[in-house]
Amino acid sequence: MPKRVLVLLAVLMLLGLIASAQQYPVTVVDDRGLEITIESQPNRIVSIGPLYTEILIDLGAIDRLIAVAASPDNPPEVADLLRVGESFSPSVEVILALEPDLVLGAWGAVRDQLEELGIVVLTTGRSGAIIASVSDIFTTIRTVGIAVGNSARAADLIGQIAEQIIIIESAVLGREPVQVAFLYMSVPDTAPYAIGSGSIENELILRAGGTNVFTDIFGFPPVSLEEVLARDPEVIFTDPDHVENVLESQLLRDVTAVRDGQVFGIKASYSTSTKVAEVLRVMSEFLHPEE
Amino acid sequence: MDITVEGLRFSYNGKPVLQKINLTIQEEEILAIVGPNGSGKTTLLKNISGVLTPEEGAVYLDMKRVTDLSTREIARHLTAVEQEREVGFDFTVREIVAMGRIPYQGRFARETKEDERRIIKAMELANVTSFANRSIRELSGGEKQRTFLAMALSQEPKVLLLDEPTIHLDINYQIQIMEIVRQQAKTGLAVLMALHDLNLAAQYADRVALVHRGRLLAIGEPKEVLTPTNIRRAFETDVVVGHNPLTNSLYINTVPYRRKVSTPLGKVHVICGGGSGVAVLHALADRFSLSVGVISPLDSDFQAAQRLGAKIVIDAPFGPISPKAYKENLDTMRSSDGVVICDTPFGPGNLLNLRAALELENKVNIYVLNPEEIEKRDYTGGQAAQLVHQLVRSGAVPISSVKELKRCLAVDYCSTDRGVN
Amino acid sequence: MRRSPRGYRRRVFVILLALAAVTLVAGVIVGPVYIPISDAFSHLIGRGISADGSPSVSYLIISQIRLPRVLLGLLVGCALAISGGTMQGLFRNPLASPYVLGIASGASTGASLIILLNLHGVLFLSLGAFIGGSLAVGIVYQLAQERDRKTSVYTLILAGVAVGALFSAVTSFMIFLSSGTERMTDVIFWTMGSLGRANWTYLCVLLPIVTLGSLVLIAFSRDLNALAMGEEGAFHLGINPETSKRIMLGVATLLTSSAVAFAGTIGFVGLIIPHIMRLIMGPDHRFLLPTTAIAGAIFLVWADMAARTVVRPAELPVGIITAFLGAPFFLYLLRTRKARM
Repeated sequence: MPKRVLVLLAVLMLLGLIASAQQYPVTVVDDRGLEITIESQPNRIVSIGPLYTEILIDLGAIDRLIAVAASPDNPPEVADLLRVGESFSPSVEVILALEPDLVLGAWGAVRDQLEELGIVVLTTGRSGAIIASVSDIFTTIRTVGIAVGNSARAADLIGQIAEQIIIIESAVLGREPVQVAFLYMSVPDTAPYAIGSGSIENELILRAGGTNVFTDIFGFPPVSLEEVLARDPEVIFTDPDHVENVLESQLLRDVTAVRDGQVFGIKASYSTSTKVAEVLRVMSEFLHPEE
Repeated sequence: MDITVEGLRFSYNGKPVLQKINLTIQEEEILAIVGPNGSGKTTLLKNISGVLTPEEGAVYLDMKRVTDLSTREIARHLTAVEQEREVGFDFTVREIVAMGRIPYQGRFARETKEDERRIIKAMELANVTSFANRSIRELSGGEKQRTFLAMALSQEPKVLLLDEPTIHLDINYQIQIMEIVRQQAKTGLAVLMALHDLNLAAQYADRVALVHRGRLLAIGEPKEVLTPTNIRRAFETDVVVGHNPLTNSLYINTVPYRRKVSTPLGKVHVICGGGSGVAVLHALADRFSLSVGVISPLDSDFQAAQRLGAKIVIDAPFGPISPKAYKENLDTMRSSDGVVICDTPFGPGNLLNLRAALELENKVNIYVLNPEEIEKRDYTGGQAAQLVHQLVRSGAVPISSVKELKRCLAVDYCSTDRGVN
Repeated sequence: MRRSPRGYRRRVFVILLALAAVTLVAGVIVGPVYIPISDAFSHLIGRGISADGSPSVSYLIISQIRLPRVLLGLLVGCALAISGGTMQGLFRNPLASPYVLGIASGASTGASLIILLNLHGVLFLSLGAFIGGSLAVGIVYQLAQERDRKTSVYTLILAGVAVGALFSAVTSFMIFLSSGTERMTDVIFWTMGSLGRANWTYLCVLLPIVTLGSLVLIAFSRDLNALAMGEEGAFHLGINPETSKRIMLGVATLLTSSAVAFAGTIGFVGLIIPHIMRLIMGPDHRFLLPTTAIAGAIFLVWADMAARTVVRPAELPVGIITAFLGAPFFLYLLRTRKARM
């Protein structure tokens, strides 16, 4: 190659490096609507929520992750990583002792204390650190991407997930929506908890070609068995450990889903993760198997 | 320090409880308030001590209205011991007596040497020193009352109000408390106490106030106030007021409820006197229609007979029986189904009763109590004894006890051919 | 007692003060992160800022996390214990607690509402709890007033039960409304109590309230003693029962509401500590209240130390520990001592 081209390439690469190095400081908006400024690339990251952990892994930033909060939903890659407490009750002291430059996913009193001690905390989602939709997941990925300096990778990730979702959705477009209920019944034949609107599961059901029979209810309240009978879903999603409870339920015998054996286990934690498209695919396969 | 109550009126929830009460209490005097339950005794005390505020009228403590004084000022001059006091925690006796000094102590003050002296003295006066370190909850009713009295005394009041200090106490504790109170009154304390026991009031109070339905019925010395008339009005019961020579005070005895003998088994005449007939009369009153004679109205058996509704043949005392009384007596005996001669002492005044019995010539059953002891009761130089022995010889039944008498009469009644007598 | 009561009491008091000092130090030394004791001590006396003016991490932990937490524990423990002792004296009932007038339920409702409305910040939370608690007591007090503006303690307790139940129902309803979300966990954890929200600013607010309030209550010890004779008995001793009751109830409510506002509803401290101290010190409130205050402070800090370390690095709500510690110790005391309640 002529020498001039090599020099041009080197200069371009240098410019590129400088360009990427000039990313910082960055400012992002958190779930409270407040602006969080990150001065420089964070290399000592503590993640409180499994979603953030997954994102870091997918963005290739796992080597910058020094500790996580304990959670059953933690991905296996962090099995040997230091723990800072439970995800619902992390220890401020332990976090402080690690001298992190970024803490992801903390909320409430813990976040207030950390911020007072001058630690940068980033949590996204709706007010209250809630992830209730696919777009919330995208926001989280994008925000974390900017924060850790991998916005390009983040954009790619978002694109990938969006792509998968579109494929799945279009496959079931035009089909008759299936009546679905997403229940939790940890004790057989007792009033189950139903997932209603305002949740990501609700959205996923819609996208997978179904209708949530409990969409008129907000949140995750207990409902009477009568309601389940009255609304008669054709398919019931539930926690994998509760499938037996539903199938063998005496009182739900006459529900279409139970009669036809259309009760499937879906791990809800996968819905608030980067694997959300996987969950969607599984759901759509259950709802529209001919596809 | 004296207390004046003027025109006091008080109501609970619109129901009038006290009406137009006027009275005064002086130093060194004990004023007892008596009256039936619900007459307003406790309410009166509470109005005087300041716990309640009068509707009309006022209570004056040495010319100052009680309602104008602060609780602390009141407590330095007047204190009260209520009827029921439940102590919430395990305070010792000494700790409780020490609380009497609170009206004289500041918020953070400790006990001074003076305080300690007074506490010890109060405990001695009320006789609680021996269990000063025991918990109040372990004590008996009498010990508790003395403790509260000690607390009141350590407060060194000039006026002491006691609401039923002897209720629920055994008799020995009752006397104990009253003696302590009397002692204190002698040293200058003015005492006002509500009592249900009229005899205690009579014995210990200098003056008595009788309350009935919220009004002051009478106030004055015990013998003026505690009359059968007043007591009948206030308590709706009949009493007999006597004099107790041991305590030199009057004593009140209630008259037992006169049971109407529905159908007397017969008529019995009792020859008695000097108290010898009381037991017999009482024993026979519910079965037989009784008559008594001859006795004088001064005789104690007279009162008993009167109470029991017996027919009484009376005669003037201190003299032999008049012929008129003798005849009446004889007629009464003749119409009786039985005659009982009690172990009465016989003197010239009542000897003729025996003669009358002899004149019956045993047409009526005669029962003689303890005839073998007649000599001890004979004050007629042997005549009475002679008559009694004669009675026994001619068929009078000797009886040794009232119980036996009852049995005998019952048997005889059963054996009597009714319609023939 | 063979020993002079005064000497015995003085000794207990001194022991308690010494224990308090030990507790303060222990609370600062103990924690999920290991800090050498010598370092801890030097941080306590203010050393730990490195040459460039920035504080070392262990200094931050000691001064910003542990020390405020221990101080909060001392203040809250003191407030709850002395309020509990006062309530027991006022109601002449050793089973009364500072929550007997519905404060806990009211505060829970207030806090839950704040959480549910998504208002962020400990300040809102504390305000909500404080207002809720005070509102509950205010309602109870109004309900219990009789015609002549006197309040019978009997009616107060009954009204407290009723109002407390009402507010509890409202809280449960709010938990139901927030079910499935993190907010539910928030509310439930708040009701279990925690010293994790400690902060120097809040300490500055709480310190004067607790010290002044405690002093006022101690100043009314005599009144409490007199009230043990019944309200009439107290009247005859020169106390004005209505005024005294009102002041003591008001101050105790203030202390309890403030404590609950910052720490949530921590149970047992206000019930058991005064009870235990009464077995040791006797019922005279002049000695009972101050020692109860110190004992409560000590107890809560130790309970919090346990809460911070038994499942480290997670933290248990301290209310769980207070219940676990309080009950067996109390039973032990009941058995070994002749009840000198």
